[in-house]
Amino acid sequence: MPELPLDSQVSELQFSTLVDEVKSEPARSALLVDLLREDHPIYEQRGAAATIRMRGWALLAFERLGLPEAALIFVLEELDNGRDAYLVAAAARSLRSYARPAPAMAAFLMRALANIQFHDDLVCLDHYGGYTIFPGDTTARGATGAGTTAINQLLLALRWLGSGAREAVPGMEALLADNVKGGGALSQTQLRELRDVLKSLKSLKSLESLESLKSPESPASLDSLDSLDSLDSLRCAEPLEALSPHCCTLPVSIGSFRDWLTDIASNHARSSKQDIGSIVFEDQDGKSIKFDEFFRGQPSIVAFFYTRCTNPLKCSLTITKLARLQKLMADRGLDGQIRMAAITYDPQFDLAERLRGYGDSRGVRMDADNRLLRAVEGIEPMRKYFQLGVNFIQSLVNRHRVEVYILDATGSIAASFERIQWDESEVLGHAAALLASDHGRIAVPDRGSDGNESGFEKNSNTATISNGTAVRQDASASRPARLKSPVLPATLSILSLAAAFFPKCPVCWAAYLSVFGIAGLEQLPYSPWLLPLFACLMLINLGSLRFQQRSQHGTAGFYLAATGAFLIFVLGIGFELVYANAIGVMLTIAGSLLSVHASETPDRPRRRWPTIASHPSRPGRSPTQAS
Amino acid sequence: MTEPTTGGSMRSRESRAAALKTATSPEEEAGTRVAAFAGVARAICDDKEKLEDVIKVLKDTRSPQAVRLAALRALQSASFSVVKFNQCRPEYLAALRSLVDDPDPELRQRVLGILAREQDGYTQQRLLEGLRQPEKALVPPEKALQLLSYDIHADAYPVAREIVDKPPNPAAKREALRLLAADAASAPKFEEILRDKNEPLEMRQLSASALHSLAPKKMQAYARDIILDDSESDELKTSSLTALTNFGDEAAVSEDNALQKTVDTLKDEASSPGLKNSAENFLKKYRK
Repeated sequence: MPELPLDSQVSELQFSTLVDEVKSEPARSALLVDLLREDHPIYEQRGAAATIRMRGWALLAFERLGLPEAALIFVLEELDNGRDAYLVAAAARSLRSYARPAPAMAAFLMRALANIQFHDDLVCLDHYGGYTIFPGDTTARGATGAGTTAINQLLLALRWLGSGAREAVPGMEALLADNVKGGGALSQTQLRELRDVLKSLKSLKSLESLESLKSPESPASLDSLDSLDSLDSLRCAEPLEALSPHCCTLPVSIGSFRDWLTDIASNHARSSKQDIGSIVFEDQDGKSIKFDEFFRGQPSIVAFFYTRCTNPLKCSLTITKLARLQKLMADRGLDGQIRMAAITYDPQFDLAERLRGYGDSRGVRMDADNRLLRAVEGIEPMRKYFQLGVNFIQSLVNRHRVEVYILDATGSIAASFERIQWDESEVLGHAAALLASDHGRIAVPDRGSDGNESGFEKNSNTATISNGTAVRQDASASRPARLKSPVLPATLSILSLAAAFFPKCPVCWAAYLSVFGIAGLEQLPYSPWLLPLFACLMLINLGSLRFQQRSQHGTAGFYLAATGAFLIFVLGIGFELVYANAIGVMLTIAGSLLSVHASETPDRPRRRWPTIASHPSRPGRSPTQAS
Repeated sequence: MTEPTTGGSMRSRESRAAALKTATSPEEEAGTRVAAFAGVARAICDDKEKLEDVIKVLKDTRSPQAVRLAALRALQSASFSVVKFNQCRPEYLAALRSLVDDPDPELRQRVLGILAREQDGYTQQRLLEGLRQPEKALVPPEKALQLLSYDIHADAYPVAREIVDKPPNPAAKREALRLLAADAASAPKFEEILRDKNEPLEMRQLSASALHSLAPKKMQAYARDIILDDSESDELKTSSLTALTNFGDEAAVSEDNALQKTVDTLKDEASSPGLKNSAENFLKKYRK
């Protein structure tokens, strides 16, 4: 198949063919991970149903390739807040191809069971499209009679987890009890499977007894009970992997998500800070406010949503959580110190009164520091700046992720919570820590406007799942004191001045002694042996200027000081030209001052400050790149 | 599922099972079967076999239409009145998908309606296909648009715009406009129709309603123009007055002397009682 530009022009047939090709080439699995990004151009101008079909097929392709760590977050996201049976089923099946089942996955599977049990459907995971008709019927075009359900796939994934599912035992028992009382949606066959897994887990005393859980008899018996309820016989027949004693940690370290970040990172241009400043919002009362007016001066918590979102686990829940966050902020006395905003993805439809209604109905307090916003100007720069996980069909959202950001007092992104449900206390904790740091209070220099990290110190960013929430935090926010330290520039300045004013010749000494003579120091003789000391100081000064210039756009300071040193040593001391000394001293001072000035100019990037592109959840920055 | 064991419940359960047996028996008269289906909703999910029996009747094209429709009603009834129906939901939806090509147009349309309300992607795909290629249409275009309007994410806006520009019939255009009322990008189209006095009144009223939702400030300006325009219809003036009364910018409207004077005249001289009533309400609120 010839190389296709992966954009909205690709037909679904071409897409499915491409994915089929890629899944037979493990080396191209990164492409599949990339296709899971909501903002991938391939999803532009497609309906939500088409987006579901395409994402589902991409997820299922990992079944053959093995789910890489970079794709794990997308699978967990679907389990965490997915409401479409096809995508949840695809995610659950895809998860079983992951090499390291971990206990932390059990919570996601249980959440998915709770989310999907009243929305389940018969889906086909073996053919593109995923739609299933009643078995044996062949009249409906584009659908197939061979199906499974999301619940079946989730139960199989719990079985696949083996002993790792032990943490889910209380949840399983509650689910079972609900169903026995008649309040659940699991079929008799599914309940039998749940009981069987539960029984095996509860009786688990040693790793050996896990064998009973792994035996294929139980799933096979499910097949025989009811063909409709088969939990995917092919998968069930596969022996489950035994968990080694060291297997049971979810890869939550930075390394676990590094590939994902890297793959997303590649070709996104970052909007400049100037563009961000041009964004104009309208709030829930119809009042206009610019980005800088609201987001500069103190830290902010920013969530994205839209009022027409049909997934109650995403936008509606996000705004409801913001209301809870406000209460927590008030309890901690942080009202007015941390701002809060919810920005709609759908500004054309979400007019001021809709925003107010949506916030009101979810208990959000709206005032000068807490606003629901719609961008009326600068929508694209905003989308680029936050690298929003969203795509559109015309102005309507076709798919988006859960995303909440913490901005520092300059409006720069300090941390983000994406894809997985976020915890209000955890978000507030991060924002409060930022507030306590210099980032939260002092107007810090802007990030680089060129959108790259060239010449900048690399950050050791973190990406973790904490309490089931994917957190990506800019490492810079955790070490503000070092970043803001004024000691280094001051030292360099003093050193420069000391070198410049150091007495270098008999004339200098005469001049100094005439001054110091008042203090009775006139008897101190000129000592040529001080020259090596002076030379050392001068070299240190030049070295420090050279060191500083790397993080600055200009190099003039260094070259001025170097010229000054040349004049002093070669012409002044070597040829004893008095004017050369004087000019050299002036050039050295000018070079030093220029260098100090450059390092203090606020709108220029400095090596000590993290760039926007270095944000770990954003394209263009990743620990891999940083290393 | 645990079933109640009291005598009454047992009898009830037995009678439901008997009714279901009658309803699904091809030997019984059509009328008897239809009547029997009316009381079987709770029995459908007692076990898989019963569900499959009902679905079998539903899918049997040789069964009388009335019986098949009764089977569908029984399934629909069960789907919202029986808690444990959720266990059967996947099979139910799959069975309905099997019927989207059924030769019986009424059954097909009802099935598509149920699936569309579930925002079923397969149904949306087939409906859109029918709108783009009329020879593949499962239902008339106006019905397809109506069903697609259940889901704003159904990707129906482009085809709806095409239908507004080249409608196969007035009903299709009307439904296309209704569907586009949630599409912010269609606001200019609604303005165009609202301004065009050659458009049928119904289309203009739909456009006014859509514009009120999508661009209320613009609609306020248009409403004022319509009220001041002697050549406009009373119906449209009535709608405009109602919009201004309930949603207008109070400060601007109450300072608008020309508007108030015109509404004053309408209150006294309009021939339509509805328009007079709207004018009175307007003046009650805004008269200085």
